Amino acid sequence: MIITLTPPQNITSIDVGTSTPKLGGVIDVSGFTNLQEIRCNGHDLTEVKGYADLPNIKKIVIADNLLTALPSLTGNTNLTSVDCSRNNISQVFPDLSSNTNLRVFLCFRNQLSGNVFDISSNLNMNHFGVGNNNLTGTIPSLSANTNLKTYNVQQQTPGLTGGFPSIDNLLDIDIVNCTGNALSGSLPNLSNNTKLRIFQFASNSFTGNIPDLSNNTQLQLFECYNNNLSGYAGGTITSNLSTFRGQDNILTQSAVNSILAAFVAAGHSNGILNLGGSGNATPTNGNSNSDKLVLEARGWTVIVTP
Amino acid sequence: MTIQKITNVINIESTQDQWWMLYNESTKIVFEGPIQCSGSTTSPHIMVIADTEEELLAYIEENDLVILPEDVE
Repeated sequence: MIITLTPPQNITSIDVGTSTPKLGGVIDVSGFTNLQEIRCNGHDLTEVKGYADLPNIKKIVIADNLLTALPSLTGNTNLTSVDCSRNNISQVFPDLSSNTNLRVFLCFRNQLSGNVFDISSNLNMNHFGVGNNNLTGTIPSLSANTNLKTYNVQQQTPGLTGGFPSIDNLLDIDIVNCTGNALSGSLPNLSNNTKLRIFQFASNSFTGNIPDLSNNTQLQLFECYNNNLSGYAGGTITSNLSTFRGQDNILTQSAVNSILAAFVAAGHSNGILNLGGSGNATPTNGNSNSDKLVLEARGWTVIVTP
Repeated sequence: MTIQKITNVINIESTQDQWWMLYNESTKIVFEGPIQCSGSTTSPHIMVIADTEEELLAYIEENDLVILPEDVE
């Protein structure tokens, strides 16, 4: 079926909504010269084309289709938001350097390849998510992206390498997730990231200390399991932090004891503290560790190396 | 094929080869696992230990348990 809208230049927004059965085939929006938004997520579309050079387009939502490619976005200089997640897009990352107004770029669960790209030109970027792709290489500096709130590069195959860049300048960062890569070096300093809520750095090859979390008063979830972390920098832990997964590292007994003590001092009830797995030391007095017993009496789930 | 449902979870030891999970009996929410992680676990919730992940996934389905995704997309 072919649906034609005329006159196309009067249309500023297209939302195909939902339908049963889902829409298949191709949507061509060329000629919609004043189009600002296209929303056609959740169908079986194989191509959405014609928007590559539309100067006014701001929002492109084409997630959950059967798309295999993403047209060049270099002409869409007013673009603020793109969501192309959960398609079959297998290409090298598009160049976003001209999309300086871009605030949201989501391309989860595709087959994007090449280096995870530099977003240092995208100074307005708030939400960047490219988890579960085939990206390679090192993560470029994020120091210019001071407006970032979420950054997700998790589960790349075979995995990003090198260190994780400093996030000292990301004062608004809320969620950062690089789980399931081949990253190494130290975990980043988090002392400036006072709005950080979710920190997921599991299943990499990070070494050194779990950082001081004293300033991360909004933190709710901290995951650093399955790395090579050996110590804990100390400091206080917020009572908001209810899930801490640090299993399968090489934490010393001193580090394990200190983490247990920090959670006791936080005074929170009913959380999860996983310090078990292979490699981590047993806390002093094992299952009879006094801090462990205090947490358990408060309703915590506690896992340690016996 | 062995599945253990443990309601009194006090210092329950699991090995690196076993799969386990914890869920809240009231909400039916699985809040830890299914994972492979050796250790000694104490929890006010229900622990289920199995030989394979598939056994736990089947248990989740049979008992109408829910896994909440923690990865934000």
